[in-house]
Amino acid sequence: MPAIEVENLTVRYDRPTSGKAALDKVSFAVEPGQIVALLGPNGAGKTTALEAIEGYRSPSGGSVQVFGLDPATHRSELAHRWGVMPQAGGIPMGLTVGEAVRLFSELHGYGGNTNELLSAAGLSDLKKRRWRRLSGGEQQRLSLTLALCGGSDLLLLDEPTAAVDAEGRQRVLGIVRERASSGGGVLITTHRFDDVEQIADRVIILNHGAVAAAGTLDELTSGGQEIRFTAPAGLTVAELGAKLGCEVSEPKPGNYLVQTVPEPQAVAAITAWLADQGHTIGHLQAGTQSLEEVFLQITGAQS
Amino acid sequence: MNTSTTRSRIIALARTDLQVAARDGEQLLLTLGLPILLLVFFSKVDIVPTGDGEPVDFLAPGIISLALLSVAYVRLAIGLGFDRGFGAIKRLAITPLRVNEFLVAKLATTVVLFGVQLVLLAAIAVAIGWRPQVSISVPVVIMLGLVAFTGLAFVTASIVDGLTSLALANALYIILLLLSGLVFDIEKMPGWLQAIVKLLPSTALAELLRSGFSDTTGAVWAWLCLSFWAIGAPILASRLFRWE
Repeated sequence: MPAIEVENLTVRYDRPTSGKAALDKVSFAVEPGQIVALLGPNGAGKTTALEAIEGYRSPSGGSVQVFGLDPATHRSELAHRWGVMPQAGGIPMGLTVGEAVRLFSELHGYGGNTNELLSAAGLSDLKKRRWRRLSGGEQQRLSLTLALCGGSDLLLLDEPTAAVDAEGRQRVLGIVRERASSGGGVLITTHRFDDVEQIADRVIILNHGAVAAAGTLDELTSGGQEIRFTAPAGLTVAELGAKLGCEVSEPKPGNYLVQTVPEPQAVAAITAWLADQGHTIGHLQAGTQSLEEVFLQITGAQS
Repeated sequence: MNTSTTRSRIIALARTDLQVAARDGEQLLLTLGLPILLLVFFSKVDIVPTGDGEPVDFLAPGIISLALLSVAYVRLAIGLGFDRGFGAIKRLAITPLRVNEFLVAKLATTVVLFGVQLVLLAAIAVAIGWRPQVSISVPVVIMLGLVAFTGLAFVTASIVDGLTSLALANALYIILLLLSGLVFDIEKMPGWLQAIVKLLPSTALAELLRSGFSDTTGAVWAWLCLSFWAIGAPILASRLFRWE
């Protein structure tokens, strides 16, 4: 059974004047042990999708099932199986880090060792500090720790790496990966491409409340009908274009884009031409695009 | 596999609340400042109409009611308002905690905090000459009052947000302080106003405590009024409560 199954999920907000669906017929699934990333610009509907899965928002259409149950009516049962990190969620007033972790582990009935959770999040030395005196990154790591006190079958994380510094981010991603490798499903929202590239098994790109693209990282980034390379700036691209019989351009100084099918012959021709001119070649990328490029193409074309 | 029970969740939340309250003990004493000041001042300076007996006999039950109002209603409504504003209530919602467990846990915290205040206030009142004859109705009246005002705190925090909740709770505190016969005798009010204030839970609470501490059972209207609020407020609270 999938951890999460979302089918044709449509959510409308209560403002009839706007008439805009916050989510429009969104479908995807999260399997146990899988890390799925919801990627999208602000306002794309990422948080709305999470909130529907958490049972806060009733769908106007379609369905959401978490372990086969409707989260809107079975939240208490599901709360034993999931851990949730809401976006910018605080903790009850006046609590210290240690008190918060103890409270949430007791509410969930967490069976593990909370000291290990605190040390994995790098918070062991801050146990006596109050929430309000933590930095943004520390609050995020505490928030993740509280989510980990929940059930281990499913982790729902809303922007877990936002406001977290580089070291903290590696900790966060490491913790998420470990949860998935022990069999829990993970759904995270993010707008960071490097998060997705590091940990996601599947990516769902949301734009304007609809799924713009979905697949594994390889599926999304392969199939580009182009070759990109870096070399000294200001080469005569027209000459290379004539030689290859296709369009060649220099979108950024020193970055070249060859619009041709990425076959070995084309790559050989490019490197031969560069060698003839005595130029070095930097990065060469054939048949794949970075996730960022895919994302910008999709969201750019639709906006 | 994680497991927690209704009992373990209520205990966890109430214990945490009490832990924080104990650490911020000075705040709790500060909220007692005004009741203690009113009690001592008006007992010694006989300027408010307090009926025929010793002023302290009239004032002590009223001030105890005021403390109950302050800890069960004002403190809780403000705390809930802020917790909601910070997204803390929403975070509790994703745990197995249920609405009624949340209500009971907050009530339990309130019972303990009020117990501490009651002991302090009673000791001060006795020190300045209060000689109550305690009826067995007193604990019943206090429980009804705590349930009614805890429920009302949840209702307030559910219908208005953070800062509004703070303003509303403080405003109601002053209004109820003046109108409910806590420090001023409602018998001195015009008849129409008396009829209105007798519908307030705080008026009934003060009336019943005054009777209870002079070993009488208290007026029927007051029992009806306080029971109505003690049943109605929690029901309304669990209906209106939103986790978000």
